[in-house]
Amino acid sequence: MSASKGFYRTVCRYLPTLMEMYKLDELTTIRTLQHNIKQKFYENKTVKDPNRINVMVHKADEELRLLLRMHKQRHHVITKYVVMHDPFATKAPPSGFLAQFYASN
Amino acid sequence: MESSRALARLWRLTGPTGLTQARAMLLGRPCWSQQQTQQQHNSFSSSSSSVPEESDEEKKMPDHMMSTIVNGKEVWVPKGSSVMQACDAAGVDIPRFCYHPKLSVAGNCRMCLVDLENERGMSPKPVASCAMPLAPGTTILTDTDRVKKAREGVMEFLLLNHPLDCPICDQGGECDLQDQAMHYGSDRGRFVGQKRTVVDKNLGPLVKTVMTRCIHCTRCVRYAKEVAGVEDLGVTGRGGASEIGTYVNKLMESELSGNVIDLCPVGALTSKPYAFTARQWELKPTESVDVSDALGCNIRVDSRGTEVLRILPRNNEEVNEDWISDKARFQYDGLQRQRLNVPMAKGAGSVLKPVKWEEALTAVAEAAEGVSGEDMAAYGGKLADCESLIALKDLANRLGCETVQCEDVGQGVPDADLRSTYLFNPTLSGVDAADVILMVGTNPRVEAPVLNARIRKAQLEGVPIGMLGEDVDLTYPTTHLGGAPPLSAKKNADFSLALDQARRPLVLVGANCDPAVMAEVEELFEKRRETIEDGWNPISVLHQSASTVGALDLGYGAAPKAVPEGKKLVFLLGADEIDVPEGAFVVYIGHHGDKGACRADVVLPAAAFTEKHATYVNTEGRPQHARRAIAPPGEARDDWKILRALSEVMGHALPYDDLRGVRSRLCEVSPTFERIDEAPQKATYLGPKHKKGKVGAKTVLRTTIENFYQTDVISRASLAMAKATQARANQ
Ligand code: SF4
Ligand code: FES
Repeated sequence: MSASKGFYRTVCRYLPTLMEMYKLDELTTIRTLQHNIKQKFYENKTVKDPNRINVMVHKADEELRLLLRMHKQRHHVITKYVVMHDPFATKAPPSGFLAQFYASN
Repeated sequence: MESSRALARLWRLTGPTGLTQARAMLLGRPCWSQQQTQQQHNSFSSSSSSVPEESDEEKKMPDHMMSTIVNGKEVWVPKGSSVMQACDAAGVDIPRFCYHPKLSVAGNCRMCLVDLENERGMSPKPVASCAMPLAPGTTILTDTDRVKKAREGVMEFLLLNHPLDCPICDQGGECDLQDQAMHYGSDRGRFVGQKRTVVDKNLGPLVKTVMTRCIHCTRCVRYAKEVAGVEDLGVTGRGGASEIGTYVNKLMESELSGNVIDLCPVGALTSKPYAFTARQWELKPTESVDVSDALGCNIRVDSRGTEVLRILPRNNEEVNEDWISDKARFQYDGLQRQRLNVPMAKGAGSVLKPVKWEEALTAVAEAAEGVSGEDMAAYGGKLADCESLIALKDLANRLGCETVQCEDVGQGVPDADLRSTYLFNPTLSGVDAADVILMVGTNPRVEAPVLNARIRKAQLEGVPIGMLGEDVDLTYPTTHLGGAPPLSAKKNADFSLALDQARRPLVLVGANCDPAVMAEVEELFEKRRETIEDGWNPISVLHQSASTVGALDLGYGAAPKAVPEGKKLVFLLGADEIDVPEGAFVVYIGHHGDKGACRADVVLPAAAFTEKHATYVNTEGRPQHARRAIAPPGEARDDWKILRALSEVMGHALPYDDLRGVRSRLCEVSPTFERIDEAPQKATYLGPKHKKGKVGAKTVLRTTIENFYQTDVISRASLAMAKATQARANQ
């Protein structure tokens, strides 16, 4: 079994705990969350080099530990795994002026 | 005065040693105060400190000047000056309480005592310099022991009955008495016993009184009588029992009452809304212009943190002299209320909901999709600055929309291409030069109180004032000539005669007079063109809002009362007084949640005049800059930036990204904007420009302002203005 598959299962095992810790049941179900996580894995499906895979798994593992120790806050989890996209990203990249305008006066 | 203030401030910071050093510093640099006084009295000149030879002197001296010696230094002043003016010209500081350059001389505080000397020797006693005309051959001495002792004596008497209120007094830190006491006050009192107390008077919701602090300089009394034109304030009683007040319990019925706060040298008259909010040294002053009427009065905005705490007038002899109206001074609390601080868009159920800027702008862009330029309209509001007006116009034009109009532009403007048809041509200071004034359909007392004070000054100098329109009380006598033009020469023979002979007549036309009235007014001068001085244009249009002239300069037209049917997309740039039909998609860009924002589909929060760098053109065509004193609240942005961002989201990006870019675009459109703070060259009267029409025989022209205190979104949101309205109604 490849490292990534094994790690994916570990994550799935922790999902109920995470749901409870971050009170995600107000926002999503375990199925959609699992689906979202799966998408995250698929985003990197082109990577074949085992070394790179190992590094990525290691980083993700670290992230999981942080999540389990409550070192992240709820909104981190929500933007990263529940909503998963910036709802306000405009199609064309804004000019310097527009970016500055959105940021502040 | 300035330098003594500086000293007093230093005293507070460093104590007595600092003061001695500072005094040495000041004495070592006499040119400092001299420059300042020369600015104020530029007609005075002072020669170099060494006295030139007699024969030389006589050759150079112009006829209307005379020379004198102040503390060993020669100065020239115009004949008829007072001793105090000579001292000012020499840069010598004279302490004063009752003297004010804009008021008559009272000479009752005796603080300005100096010694005079002529060929017969020293004056028998020190004289009050403000009330003493300068005689030839007199030398002035201000630093003798006798003068110092005399001033100390005056100060001791003043402090005898002055309460030890400084820690709880709003004037603390900017009090003339406090400053002078640092110079001339004793460190202990010699009098024992009860101090005198006086009952406070009620002057209404704007001016707070603590009459025990009054030092009876009578500046306020003279101001009320001479400038404001209301005989409400006066002195009652004598000696120790004299009191300043409104003889009966009564408000001060003036639109200019707030100025007594600045005039009062002590804390007897202070601002009620500002009471106990800040000390003067905590405030950050920003020089700006007022937008509550079309005069563009120069103001200083004092802010602390994110709040504007007070607004004071700034001297500009050509615009507002030393005064501002109560609305300009007290409406600032409206800047805190009813503000729009997040973008909003109508979601499901047609309720405005807070959204992100991105969403709001995209919503506008989506609504504009497929709407042709003819179905769009853009309206500027009463408080719109020129930067945002030009951005709105450029955006509208890029979208193919030609309906670009401004509310509160009078119907009497025939063609905006000729600037002199809609300006106050003789300029505001030209009022002082006018020899006859005729008012047509206007009430300057509510439309521009500061201008009214200027006209009053002219009236006091004997200029006949005629009035066509509603017969209102303007605080000075006027001749009522009828409800509307034409002026019948038979009925008003005296006034017609005055008009016939006038070289510099001035006709003040209300902005809302229709073209027929304007044509009649021009007709009046058509007959008299010969007598009018070259280069003098009598037509003075008095607009009512700060944006009007700027909008006309930038090519805006007059907006109708209601948006025409069939418009699908309407931009309102702070325009609140225009009715929008059902079915139109309304984009409101503005700073207050008033009528316009209520009706809007998308609300884009903008900055008020204290929160942005902006240009306003006043009724005489003088462009002036308002500057940012505080940051706009919440998510609000500068108006022109909103329009610039919107243009990009709509796919028609405007070509300027910064303030300099917008301003150079302004200069491109109208060269007026290159000459900031300057009134335009006086335009010669070119004859009639209006088409003749019929003025109904029964017409009575009147101003459109119902309530002076509440005319725009800021003043409508202001508590102080609401209280003032109520107090006036209950009077
Ligand atoms: S109230 Fe102020 S301005 Fe008026 S007389 Fe007294 S000290 Fe002077
Ligand atoms: S200033 Fe001269 S007497 Fe008051």
